[in-house]
Amino acid sequence: MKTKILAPIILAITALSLIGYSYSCWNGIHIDCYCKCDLIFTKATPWDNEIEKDVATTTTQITCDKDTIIVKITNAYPCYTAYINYTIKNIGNRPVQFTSLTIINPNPEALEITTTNHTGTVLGPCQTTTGKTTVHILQPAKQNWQYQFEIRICAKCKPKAYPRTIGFWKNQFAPYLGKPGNPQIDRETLENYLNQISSQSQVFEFTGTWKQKFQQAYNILEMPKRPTMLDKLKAQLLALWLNQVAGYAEGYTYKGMTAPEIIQGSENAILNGLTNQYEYWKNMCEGFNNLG
Amino acid sequence: MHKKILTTFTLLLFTMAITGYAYTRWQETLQIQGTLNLAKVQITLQAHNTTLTTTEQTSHTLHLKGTVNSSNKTIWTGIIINNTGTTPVTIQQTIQTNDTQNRIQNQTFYYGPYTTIPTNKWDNSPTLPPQDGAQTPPELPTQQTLIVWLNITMLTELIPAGTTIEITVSYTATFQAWTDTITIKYTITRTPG
Repeated sequence: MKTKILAPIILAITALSLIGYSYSCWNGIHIDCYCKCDLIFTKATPWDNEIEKDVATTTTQITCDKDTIIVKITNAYPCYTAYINYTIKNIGNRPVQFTSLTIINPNPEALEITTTNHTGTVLGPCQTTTGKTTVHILQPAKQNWQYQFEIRICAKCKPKAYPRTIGFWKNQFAPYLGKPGNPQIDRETLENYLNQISSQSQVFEFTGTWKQKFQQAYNILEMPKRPTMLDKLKAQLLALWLNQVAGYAEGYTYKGMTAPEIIQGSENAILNGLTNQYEYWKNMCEGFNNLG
Repeated sequence: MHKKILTTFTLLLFTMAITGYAYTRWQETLQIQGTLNLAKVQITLQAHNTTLTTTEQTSHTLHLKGTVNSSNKTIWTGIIINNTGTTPVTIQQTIQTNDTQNRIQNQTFYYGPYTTIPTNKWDNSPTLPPQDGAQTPPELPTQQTLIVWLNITMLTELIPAGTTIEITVSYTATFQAWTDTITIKYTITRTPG
């Protein structure tokens, strides 16, 4: 009886999967099944604060799996400071985002350990980032003693980014302005996006408190009830700018043009009052924003 | 038969689902693991050379006892300090005594540092003090030795017979905030004559 129930369900799942796959192949949609996320240490260089006398020694070794640096400090003493410069490389084919940093130091009275906090940094495929770990021996450290510490740098695979529409961006600002909705981007990041746009754009400038900036951006995206072509162009252009600074435009082109090229063309048209080009650039911005 | 195929198929689907989930949950932790071995500041009394009687001796203390009189009022003491720690050290001498009337004079001569002790600075010295002594102690590298010759002269004409004077000579090795000390304690009695 159970077999009779299970068999059609499984067959249905298989059939649906095959249909979906065949359809996507027939339509030329590329299915990237080979997704690899991997980070490794490529370099670890130790040095220290000893100038005249060479009393203590610091050595580093990257393990075979390349995800651990073994640091050995011998003959250390109070005031001795060891530094480890390291390089991390993304050897996967997806961007990786650093999510957290944990320093496990059971003896904070004897050791002061600091390290570069990569949290929030996104590392694209083949990209590298460098950091520095500092180990400082404090006065209460015991002679002829052994101390240990551990630093954990966590990272996760970043979901593939794609351009978002005006609607998406409006929905990001709206909840912070008291309107209904559930934002996917935190307030600080959004404000940072607007600040970046203000410093790079020749058309947009957001000023005042974060709320005032959000209101200015929202108004542009929302457009007046009877929008002119310039209003429409500005709304699509701002959405494109947001996609650009958020990294959602990376790797995408529309009609052979990249996001910075469309932005430049659109801003040029606005700044020079080329009204006959407004619709063209509005369509270019809109087309790009709808690629996702 | 059907059941077996179905079970295998279900397991396969389940595994694929789990794999997909695992990918979306991919997380990597890079680690920096450190081990620190701390240094040790240590000096030890390797040997001593004196005409006084040794009443106690450890690696860090030496108790000497003896007498002086008007014809024999100078005491020479030689010691070898070995840096048995893992750091270089600087040596500092301090002398304390229960004599409050300044009836004791002293002079110290330092030789070294050495990896091999030269006999002409130690037990085969033709004269005391040996030649080329320094007035201040040099820095003592790890696993090397320092010869110290200390001259104590008692102004016996000022010390009544039967008086016992105690002198404590300390050699403190210092590296950063860490120290180690060797102490030599003299108990000297003024005898008649």
